[in-house]
Order: sequence, then structure tokens, then C-alpha cells
Amino acid sequence: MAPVQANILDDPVAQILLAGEATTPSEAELVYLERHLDDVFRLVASPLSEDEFRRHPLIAMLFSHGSRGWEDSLR
Amino acid sequence: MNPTTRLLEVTDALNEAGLQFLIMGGHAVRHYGVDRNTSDFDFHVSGDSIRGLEERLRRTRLLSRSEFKEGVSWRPEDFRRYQIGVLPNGREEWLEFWIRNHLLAPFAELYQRREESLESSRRLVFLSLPDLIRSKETERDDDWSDVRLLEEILDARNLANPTGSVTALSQLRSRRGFETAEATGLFGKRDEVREAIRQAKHPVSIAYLLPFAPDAECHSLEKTIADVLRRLQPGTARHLAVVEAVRLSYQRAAKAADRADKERQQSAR
Repeated sequence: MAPVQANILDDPVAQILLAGEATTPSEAELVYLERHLDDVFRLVASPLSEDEFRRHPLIAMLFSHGSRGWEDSLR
Repeated sequence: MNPTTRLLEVTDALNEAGLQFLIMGGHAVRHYGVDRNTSDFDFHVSGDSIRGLEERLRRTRLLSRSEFKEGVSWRPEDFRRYQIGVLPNGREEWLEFWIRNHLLAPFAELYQRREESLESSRRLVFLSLPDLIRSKETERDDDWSDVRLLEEILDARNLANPTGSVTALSQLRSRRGFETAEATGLFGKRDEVREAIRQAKHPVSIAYLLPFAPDAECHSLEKTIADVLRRLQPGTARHLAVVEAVRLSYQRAAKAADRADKERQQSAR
């Protein structure tokens, strides 16, 4: 199997889409986030630096679905 | 025809029919400042309006000459809908009436909290902004997109009131509101933050505030989450991540409650 296809099949959000549990990538991300809220709290308690924490894929996904800050309008 | 002109035609017809009503849905969202293209007209009407509703509407000048037919409602005691035409772009135009909305207080209470505006010398009466936000807490993702934008507007309105900082803090719901409150030094007033936590009803508001007054009493947020928040540095990525996790949990519970209500209605029929 080509590497790109393998990556897609390894992606848990893509798996939610492929399983028919969501109809859009955004909806699939929400499903994924809802299932991993406990992991958010584990990361909050982890020794990651502020920057590492902010850049963690789960936290980045959480913020992208959350309330937007003023800086978003400058991007 | 622009949406406001059409809304005025429809509200004139409802007034002619003698209905007491509040504008909700997309036109209320537009009133509060979110640009929205909508061909539906959503209203909350008083309970006694349901008697002879269709006949009263049919007798109005606007609707007597329109293509007017009742649509299917999955909760006819609480919600009625009527198609009043088809727009040139093919979209159907619907009038929708809530008599009792499972997410909202009774009509009389909502009416007391109404917001009014004047358009072409006519009074338009809208659901209050907090009630409109509540009405959008459904299982539909589109409604939650509106909630996000309306929360920012609610915060901006509250924070623009120089004498209402405790109220503004106690209702804080958006990241932009949080950043504005932080920039204007509102979180530095510890007693006001404590009072705001005491008054706050929404878990997201409490999640924003608690790290600024970790000793404040708080009974309306799950204890384990409150304990995490009390230990966090306010305004850090960790604090804001917990706020978003609380928001997501709230949204998930609200969607499930709306879905359960719909299922109850359907199984009762």
C-alpha cells in the first residue's frame, strides 16, 4: 500500500469518517475530541511546556473548534 | 426584496392577525449583528395564539393571496409551520411558530425580556439575546456556529457597559470577551470576580473565571474540573484548553438532551 494511503488509514479522524460516524471532517474532529476529553485533562497535568502543550495535535484541534480569539482576525 | 422589508411584511400580517409574538431564528440572529441569509420566519407566540391560528393567518392581506399550506410538524401541540411561497431562486418560504419551546421559558417570561427595534416606523420585537442563544442549543451543528458568534456579541454588549462589570464577567462566554476583559483589567478586581462566579450559571463562564479567584465558592461546576481550574495559571493555554473542554462537554450534553426530547416526542406520537 502506498504511504499516503497508509497515513490516511492511520488517521483516527479519517477512521471516524470512513466508519460513517460523521459526514464531514469537521464533524469527525468533534467526535474525536468528545472521545478524548480525558486526554485533554491528562495533557493539562503533564510536564509539557506551555509551547509544547499549545502545539500538541489534540490541543491544537481543540482550540480550532473552540471560541476564537482576537488574533484570528489578523491571520 | 431585502430580508428586513420581507420581515416587515410578515410581521405586519401577524399583527393584523392579532398575534402576540417574538421574532426568533435567523431574523433574530441578523438583528443581533450576524449576517445571515434566511428564507424562514421563526416566531414564538403566546399559548392562546394557537386557537384558530391558520384561519387568522389566512384572513390577513398578505397571506390570503399567497400559496399557503401547513407543513408537517413532529410536535404539533408545540410547533406549527406554514409554507407561504417559493422564492425566485426556488427556495421555499416558511412561517414557523413555537407555542412551547422545550429549550425556553414560557412565552410571558420571554416577552418580559424582549428586545425591540424600530424599522420603517414599525416596532419589531425579538427574543432577548441570552434567550436566542439558549434557543440555538439544539442537536444541529449549524445552530452551534450561531451560538459561537452570538456569544461574542453578548460579551461585547456586556463589556461595553461600564457599570456592569460583575454582570459582564458572570456571563462571559467567548474567548474574545475573555481577552477584552483581561485587557481592560477586569480580572484584577478579585472581589468582583468572586461575586461574578457566585452569580454565574453557565459552566463556561465559571471556567473562565475560577483561576482568577481560586478560593471562590463554586457549586455549579463538576468538582474535579473546578479543582483543576483552581490550580491553573489564569490565561495560559492550559486554562483556555480546560475552558474549551468544558464548552465541548456542555455542547455534547445539550445536544443529547435535545435529541432525547425529540425522541420522546416521536415515540409519543
